[in-house]
Amino acid sequence: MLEHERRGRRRRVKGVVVCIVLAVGAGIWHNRATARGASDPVTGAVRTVTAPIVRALAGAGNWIGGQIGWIFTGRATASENRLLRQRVEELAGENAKLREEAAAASRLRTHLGFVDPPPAKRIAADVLSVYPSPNVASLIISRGSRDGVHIGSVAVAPQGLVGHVTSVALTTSVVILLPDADSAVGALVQRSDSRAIGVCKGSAEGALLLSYLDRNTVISVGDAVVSSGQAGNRGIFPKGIAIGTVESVSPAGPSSTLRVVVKPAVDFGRLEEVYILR
Amino acid sequence: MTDNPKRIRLAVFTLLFGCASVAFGHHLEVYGIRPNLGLTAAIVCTLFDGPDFGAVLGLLCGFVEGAYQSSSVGSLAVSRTLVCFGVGAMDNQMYRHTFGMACAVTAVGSFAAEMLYFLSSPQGSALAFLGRAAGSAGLNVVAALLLFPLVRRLVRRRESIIASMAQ
Repeated sequence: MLEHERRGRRRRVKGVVVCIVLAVGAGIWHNRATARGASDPVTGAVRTVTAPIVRALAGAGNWIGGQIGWIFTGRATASENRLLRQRVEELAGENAKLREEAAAASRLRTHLGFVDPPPAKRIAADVLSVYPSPNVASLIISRGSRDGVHIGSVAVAPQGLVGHVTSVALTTSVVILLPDADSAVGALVQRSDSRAIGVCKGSAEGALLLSYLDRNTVISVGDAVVSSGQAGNRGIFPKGIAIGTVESVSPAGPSSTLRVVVKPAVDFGRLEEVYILR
Repeated sequence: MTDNPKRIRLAVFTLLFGCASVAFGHHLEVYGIRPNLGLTAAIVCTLFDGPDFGAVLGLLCGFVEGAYQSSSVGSLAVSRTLVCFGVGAMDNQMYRHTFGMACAVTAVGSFAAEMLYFLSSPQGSALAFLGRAAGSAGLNVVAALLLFPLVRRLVRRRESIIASMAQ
């Protein structure tokens, strides 16, 4: 009896040791691949196998949310609709004016001999999951290496910059969002009297901060912040993509720089599609 | 009679809830804290099996969770494996399959898994992580209340088939 129990215990310990060895091995493999800037096959395979299930569940969840959501938000949606119509009319006028100015700027650029870069090719991708982990601000999208997505590709939405791709499997990719602590992008304050350049970085608290701005920089709440086209921490984000608007400006402790909090242009929690720039 | 069909069901159940956690975990957020459906499913399923298969379920749950994060795959898989093994080992000694026990084990197991994860992969403020882990464990208890009868039904159906075949 005792011998039988002992054998059972040994078998159990052997089982858990095998599992831990597998887990540690996969972890080391993953870390090495990530350090090389590549995706590891283990997590890639798990994602490729489970992506159809996640996609079906996300689709069902969104459909149910859409069907039930309007019952609770009907009245609020109607008043929001009225406000949005007014805003669209205002923006249509502003848009026409800006188009005219853009055409003039384009003409001048041609006369002065500037060469515009070719427009980036876009791949549309569905968002399978938003913030799958509470510890990393990320998205899972429905496009992978099969579609030409690679590590460092830039993800954008119609409202502005979303983030960059950090891991690619055959049919899915992980996009690290701008507010993640691991994210950084060269940024430019869009006002005619400043054009200050800094770096927009995520933070551990999830806020988006515009760093390396001198205390004397001319900047105020409400200013638009766009990508500067200079290198961030991964590759180069194209110039002129909206990042957000300045939410608060304060001196950054005893240093001679400013602490600028930026409100992202994109509501990451509500994203359903993104575009990957190639 | 082999346990394999039951185990396959439990593994599929854990995998499905792991995927559900990825697909709409953010819809279930309460004050920025969300339940971990995959881990809850793995712990509850382990209650109906032994420690060795519990470790496999923990590993599966860790891999699914890790695959959708861009970091700490090994830490996630190891912490989940150890916790589910522990739950299974305790199950052989002292548990009864009741709602209360499932909730208590889920609360302690979830918290322990997050703490193990933090120890092997520290990130951000420890205090903030502790608060999040405690909140997540609380939400997992609510999830366990819903998952426990489902798993019991899944297992009992199999057991009743075996019993009728034995007769």
